[in-house]
Amino acid sequence: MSESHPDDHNPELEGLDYGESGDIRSIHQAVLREKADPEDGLEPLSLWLICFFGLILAFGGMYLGMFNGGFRADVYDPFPVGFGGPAGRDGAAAAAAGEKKELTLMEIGEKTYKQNCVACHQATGMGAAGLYPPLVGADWVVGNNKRLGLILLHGLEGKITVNGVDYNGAMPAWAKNLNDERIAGVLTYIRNSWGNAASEVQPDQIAWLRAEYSSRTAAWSEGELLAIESALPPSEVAATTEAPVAVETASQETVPADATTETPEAAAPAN
Amino acid sequence: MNSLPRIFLGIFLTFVFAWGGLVAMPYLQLGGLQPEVNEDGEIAPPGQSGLAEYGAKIYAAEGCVYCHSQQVRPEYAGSDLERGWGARRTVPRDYIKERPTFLGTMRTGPDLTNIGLRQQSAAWHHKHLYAPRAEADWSTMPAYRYLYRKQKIQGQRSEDALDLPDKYAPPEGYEIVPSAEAKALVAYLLSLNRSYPLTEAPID
Repeated sequence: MSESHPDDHNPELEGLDYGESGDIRSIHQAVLREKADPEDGLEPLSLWLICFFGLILAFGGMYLGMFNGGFRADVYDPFPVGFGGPAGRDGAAAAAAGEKKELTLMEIGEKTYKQNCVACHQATGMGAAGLYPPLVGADWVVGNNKRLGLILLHGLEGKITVNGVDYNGAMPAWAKNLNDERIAGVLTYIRNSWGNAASEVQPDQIAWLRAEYSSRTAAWSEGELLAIESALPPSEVAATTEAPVAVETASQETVPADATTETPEAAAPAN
Repeated sequence: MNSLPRIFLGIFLTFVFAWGGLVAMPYLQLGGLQPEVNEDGEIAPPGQSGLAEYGAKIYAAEGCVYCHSQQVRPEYAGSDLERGWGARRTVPRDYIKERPTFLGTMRTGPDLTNIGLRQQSAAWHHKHLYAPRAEADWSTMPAYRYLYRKQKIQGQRSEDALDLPDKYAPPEGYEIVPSAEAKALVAYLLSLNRSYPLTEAPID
């Protein structure tokens, strides 16, 4: 077989058997048919993923709807008044007016104490050792109510002995920051909490004290206070322990309500 | 590399979105806040005296803000109210007269939003700044002695000389007096009293 084959000197076909193709595309045709190359395009998304993002969007929308506060700069209440309702100033004010209930002196006192006194005297009334005197079992608290009232109104500076321990601090003055009701409430609260038991202090007594010492601005010292022997004059308000005190507006309904619920048996001994 | 413009546009829009949410929107909402006349008939927030304004600069220079915040969180977000740091939460209107505001993030020391109400005595503040452990022996606050001057008593003791316990007292015949900076700083601390009610943050 000296006759030469046409393919003999084609360098591209060197090493190939007779009839084999050197075309790479035709070699891979079968593979490409079975497993196509991936392409960019609008592939269908997993249904679960769609549901997942849908839920996240729904939650986000609901959250925004409930807690947006009307997108107002003056609304800070994170809790919704109503779905899409006025969570703002008007809504909150209306809600507050509807729920404005009368608080007893003790309740006013507890609230005021928690707002202003716990930083030093602590919620337990025990104060801080060596820094802030305790209120529990202290003569200054359960004893003379006039001295106690003056400490609250004008403050106290310098050494003071409480429960046999010396303290040297500075009690702030509250005359400017708390009204008569709140001061009376705090006094009543600290005199009747944590095992303390002493008489109530009524707002009109504090008003009297304020007027009596209206020219005083400086803080008291222990010596000055100890020189005061007299107590506060008795309150002109009937000091009944259960009498509710109106905080914002006086209500005409409570007193008759109490009177009418009195049973004849209970009223009889009074007569 | 013909997708470069798209990448830059994406980065730009990301920043624009963040800027819109963190800067532009709050500014539109709160930028126009004005002082108001509150239910007590007082202008709230009240302005500061010149001395207190100078004291605010000392407050900034001494880095007080690194350990003391000036913001009371609402009840649902923390225990600030329970700790007695204020009777109400603070709101943006509280800070409109301050440049800069010292909100602070660290609370190594107590919050100072209402320190002027809690500690109304200038003498207490001077003693505490000069020697924090003269007031509380467990205090971790640094002493700011360099805001005070030790000087020889000339005749009579100065009126504003510090009344220190023996451990921190200067030697016999000397006294510790506050510098102008210390006085300004204390004036600033005493001015920190955000206990006034606001329409959006009433005291109940």
